[in-house]
Amino acid sequence: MENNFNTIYEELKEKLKDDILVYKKNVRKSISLATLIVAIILIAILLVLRNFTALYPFLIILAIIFLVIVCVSLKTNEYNNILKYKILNILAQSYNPTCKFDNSPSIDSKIYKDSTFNIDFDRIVSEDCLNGVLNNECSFTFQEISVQKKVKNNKGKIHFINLFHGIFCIVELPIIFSYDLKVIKNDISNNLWFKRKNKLEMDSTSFEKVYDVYCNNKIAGMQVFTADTMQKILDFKEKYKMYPEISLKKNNLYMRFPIFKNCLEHNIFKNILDYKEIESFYILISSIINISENFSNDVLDLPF
Amino acid sequence: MVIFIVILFVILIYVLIQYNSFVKKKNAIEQSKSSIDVYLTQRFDLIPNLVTCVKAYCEHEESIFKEITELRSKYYETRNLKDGAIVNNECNDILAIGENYPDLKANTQFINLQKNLQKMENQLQAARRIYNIDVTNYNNSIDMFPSSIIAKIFHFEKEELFDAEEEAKNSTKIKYN
Repeated sequence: MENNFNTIYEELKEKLKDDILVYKKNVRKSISLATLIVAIILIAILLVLRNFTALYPFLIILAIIFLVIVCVSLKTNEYNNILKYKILNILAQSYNPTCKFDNSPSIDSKIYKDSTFNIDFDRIVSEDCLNGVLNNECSFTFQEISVQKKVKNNKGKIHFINLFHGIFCIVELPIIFSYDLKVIKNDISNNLWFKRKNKLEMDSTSFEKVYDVYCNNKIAGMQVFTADTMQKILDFKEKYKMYPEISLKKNNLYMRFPIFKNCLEHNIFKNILDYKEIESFYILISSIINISENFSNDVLDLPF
Repeated sequence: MVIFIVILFVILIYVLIQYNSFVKKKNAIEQSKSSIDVYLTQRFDLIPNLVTCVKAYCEHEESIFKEITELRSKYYETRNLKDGAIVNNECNDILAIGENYPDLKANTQFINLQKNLQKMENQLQAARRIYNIDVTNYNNSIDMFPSSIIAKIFHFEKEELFDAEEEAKNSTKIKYN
C-alpha cells in the first residue's frame, strides 16, 4: 500500500502544481486585503480613542487575534474551494476512475433510517460525498455524516448531540437479500431481554466479544457470516482501529465507520500537500472502499 | 425454621430454572438437528435427478450410483445425521465427477443441479454451525458448576458435536474409474 501511495502522491504533486500556485496567489491576495482593512479600522479606532492611550496595547492585540482568525478562515476557504476535492478525487480515482468526491449531501435521513443503525434521531449533517462504482460493478456512495438528536438543557435551550459521527456508506447490490441483517458493536444495553430478539449466537468467540449480530433468519445470517467473513471484519478493526458496523436490507448493503473527529479535513497549519496527512486520507478512503467491496463480494458469492 | 424454608424455596426455584434451561437447550438442539435433516432431505431429493444426468455421460460408473441410492435409502430409514453426512459427501463426490467430463460440465441440467446442490450445501453448513453452537451451550451447562449437579440429578447427557471433516474421513470412499 505504501509503494502504491508513493506513486499516487507523486502524481498528485505533479497534477496540482498549477492549482497550488493559484491557491497561494489567492491566499496572498486575500490576506493582504484583510490586513489592509484591519489596519485601516485599527488606525481609525486609535485616532478616535486618542485620549485613551492605555487601551492601545489591548486594541492592537485584539486586532492581531482578529487578523489571525480571518487569515485562517480565508486559507481554509481557499483550500476547500481550490484543492480539497481535487486531492480527494485523485486519491479515490486511484481505486476506480468512476469515483468522484463533492460536497453534495446525497445521503438523506430516510436512507439512513432504512439502515436501522439509529431510528430515533432528528437530523443528519453531512459533507464530503464520494460516489462511484466498485470493481465488482456495484454502485457505491460514501459520506461523512453526523447523526444528531435534539435535546433540551436545564434552561430549556435546545441543542443537538451527536449519536454518531463518521463515515456512512451504501453499496447497491444486484441481488435482493430477503432478510434483515445487522451487525453492530457490542454494547451492554444490547443484552437487555427485549433487545435480544433475533440476536444470533456466532461460533467465533473473538467476534462475539466485539459484535452483536441480528438477523430474522438464523440460517441466512450464518451463511453471510462465515468464519472467513468474521475474521476479515476483525482484521480490519485491528488494522485501522475502526469498528465497521453492517446492515444488509433488500438490495442495499449499509456500512458505517464511527470516527470521532472530522476525517477528511486539512490542518491549515500543515503544508498544503503534507505527506502524512494525505496518506491518512488515502488509507481512510481505500480501506473503506476495500472492505465494502470485499464484504459485498462475500454477499454476492452466496447462492441465495 | 423460616430461614430454612426460605433457603429451601430458593434452592427449589434455582433447580426449576436450571431444569427449564436444560430442557430449552435440549429442544434447541433438536430443532437444529431437524433443520439439518430438512436441508439434507431437500438435497437428497435431487440425487435421482443428479444420477440420471451424470449416468448419461459415464455409464461405467454404475456402482457409484447404486451405492449412493442405497446410502440415501438407509438415511431415510435411520434419519441419523452421521449417515446423512456420508450421503452428502458422496453427493459432493458425484458433483466432482463433472470436472472429468467436459460435456457433462457444459450440460444445462447438470449446471442447474450443481447450483441448487451448492445452495443447499451452503445452507446445510450454516445449519450445522447453529447445531454446534447449541450443542456447545448445552454441553457447557452440563460441565459447569453448579448446573452440573442439576444435569446429573436429571440425567442430562452430553451431546456430540458435528464434525463434518471427521464424517468425511469415516465415509465409505467411492472409487472412481
